[in-house]
Amino acid sequence: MRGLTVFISDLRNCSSKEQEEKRVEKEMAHIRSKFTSDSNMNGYNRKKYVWKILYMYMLGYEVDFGHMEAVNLLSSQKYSEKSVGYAWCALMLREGDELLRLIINSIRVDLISRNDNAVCLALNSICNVGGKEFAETLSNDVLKLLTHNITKTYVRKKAALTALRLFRKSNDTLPAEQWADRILALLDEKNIGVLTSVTSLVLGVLAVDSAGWEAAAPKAARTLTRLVLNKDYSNDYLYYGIPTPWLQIKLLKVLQHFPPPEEHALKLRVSEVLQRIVSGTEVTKNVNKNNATHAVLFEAINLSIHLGQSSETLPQCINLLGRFISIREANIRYLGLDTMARLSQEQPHTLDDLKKHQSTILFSLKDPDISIRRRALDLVYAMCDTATVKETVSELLNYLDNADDHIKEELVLKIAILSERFASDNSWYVDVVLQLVRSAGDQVADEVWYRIVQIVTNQGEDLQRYAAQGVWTILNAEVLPHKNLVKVAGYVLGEFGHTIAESPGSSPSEQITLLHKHFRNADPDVRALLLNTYVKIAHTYAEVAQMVSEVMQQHSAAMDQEVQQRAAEYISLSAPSLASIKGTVLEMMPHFTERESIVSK
Amino acid sequence: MIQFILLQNRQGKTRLSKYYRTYTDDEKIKIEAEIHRIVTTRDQKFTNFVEFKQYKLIYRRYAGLFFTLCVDVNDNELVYFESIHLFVELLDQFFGNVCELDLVFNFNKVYMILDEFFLAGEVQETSKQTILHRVQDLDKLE
Repeated sequence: MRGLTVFISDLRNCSSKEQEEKRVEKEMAHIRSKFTSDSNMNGYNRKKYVWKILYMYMLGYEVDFGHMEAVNLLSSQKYSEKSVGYAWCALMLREGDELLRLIINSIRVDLISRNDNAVCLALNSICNVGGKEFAETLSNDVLKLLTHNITKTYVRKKAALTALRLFRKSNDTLPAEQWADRILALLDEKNIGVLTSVTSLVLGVLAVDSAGWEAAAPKAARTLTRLVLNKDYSNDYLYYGIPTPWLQIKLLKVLQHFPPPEEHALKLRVSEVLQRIVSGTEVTKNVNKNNATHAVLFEAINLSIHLGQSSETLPQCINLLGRFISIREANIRYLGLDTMARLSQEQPHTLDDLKKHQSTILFSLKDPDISIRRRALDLVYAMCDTATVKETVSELLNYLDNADDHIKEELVLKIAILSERFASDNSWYVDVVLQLVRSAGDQVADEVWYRIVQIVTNQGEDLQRYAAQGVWTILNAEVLPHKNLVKVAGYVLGEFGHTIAESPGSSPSEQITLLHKHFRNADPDVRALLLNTYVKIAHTYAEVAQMVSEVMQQHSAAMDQEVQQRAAEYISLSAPSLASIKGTVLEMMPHFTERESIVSK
Repeated sequence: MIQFILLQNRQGKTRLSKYYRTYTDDEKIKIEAEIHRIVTTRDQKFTNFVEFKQYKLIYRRYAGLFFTLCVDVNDNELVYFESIHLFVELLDQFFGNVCELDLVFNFNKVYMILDEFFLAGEVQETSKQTILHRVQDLDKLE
């Protein structure tokens, strides 16, 4: 279209943004006036103007006219005009748009038309903007197209993916009892293009619920045999010598939705295919071929992992992964680490085999590429067990000091979870969490230190004394402790300070003095917590009552509401009339009820 | 599935965008800016895969253009990496030694080719010949 090309050139030749804006405004005004004045505009012009509108929209300009003209084009009998109408819908409309109600009828007309090209445009459109309403109104027509024998292949492929789109918008579109047989029958097709699209549909359904679709597994295995072992495919599906890696991978994924096969023939088939892929993949010079073969290989490894003990190829896969994590090529190293993490989680019995790679994995934690660092961290986490937890956590704590912010928060959480889950002794766990709060205060979510409080409270006096001693030592050592550290110390000393009160250097008054040193510059939430601490300590140890009472007086008119309220209430609580209640209020906190660790959530 | 596809040049101009998930215009602007920042600042030796929100990005550079696919976390990275390459080969064969300007002046055809290769966030057809025949037929239609 000359008009469009000239217009695009004009815009590109503008020497400044202002000039471009002016040219765009001029064109928009021109088109607007044409739309209002020329009621008999021919299709060619309408088409040309709508393409121009779309180009301006793509450049980032707001367009608030032309809707009716574009919709009008949808009902044209000429393909070039109809297709620009659909292009407009795809670019300008989105799911749920009011205008879609107007169009849905046009789409339906095209969907059931005898003209296959119109059918294809309609199917594309449903894929681009279809939502729940489309699913309710149009899914029957789409499914008919999909399963009818006379449907052309290029229509059937689109129908399969349209069905998938509708299914994703409304899962009731494809109840198994009604559709599983007919759709799975399509997996016996010879045409690889159709197979590719239909397999995508099946995978989409399996992802939600595989019940009723079990026949997919043997069919997937049969097609894999065709492709991998029997070389039964047409050459236009070769990609750098590999028969359609896309379909191979989808079929391997289908098998991962079902438990390991028990039926003998199926088991054998799957095993042969995996064997061929896992042993037959070589490294080649051609980048694309290499990527394609390894794409299939990694999916085959995923399937082997899924099959677990019943897979004969699993030991080979483990060896391959061991090699991959040290390879120079970043993409393969990434996938090696990622897959090894999956292996650790799904087949924990392989952990012993994997431990010999520990040093390589820890080394990857320091890789310059954040993507690799993340995979390495996930893997370290997945591989950790009771035997390795102390070494792992110690490495992670070292790493924490140098880690960048993106990964710190996740790192802190993982360290907290690992040390709680696998700790064989609680005092080590207390040390770890205190270290976390000390080195990475900002990234320690409240849930992490709440957890340590819960555990220490529930575990009894020995651990309580250990914790109190621990916070006391750290607090004395830090010149500018992080606020979370002050909070933890404050809480612990408030509850369990009495366990170390007799020791030299940590008498109640020394405890309060040290805490109060940090009170002055503390945030209101820290201060509020510390007031609790003071009043609890003062309740048990009369020697500090005076000091504490002065602090309360000072802050009974504090700006922060919480601080003020607590100070005022604690002053009232000290009145003689409330002596009996006071004891109850200031008692040591009771055990926490054991629920799922908030940190794990 | 693919959540969206972006083609951006070094300066950050989006030459092609296809969203298989619904976003508002404002959200799209933010996403495109962030993706551009991410893919242009990564070292060449790094992986072509990056975490992005609850998805991951697969990206590949061809001359001055960055092709980015945003996919689900459990999708096969390498095969999508090669999907980008297949798409580039399609464009190259259709336009004959394709360059950025071809994509600008023929944006309508690029979208048409895209809809013959990807649909509903999935790969639709993988035979270059089949796709190109279909596209050439469609291109001739009045």
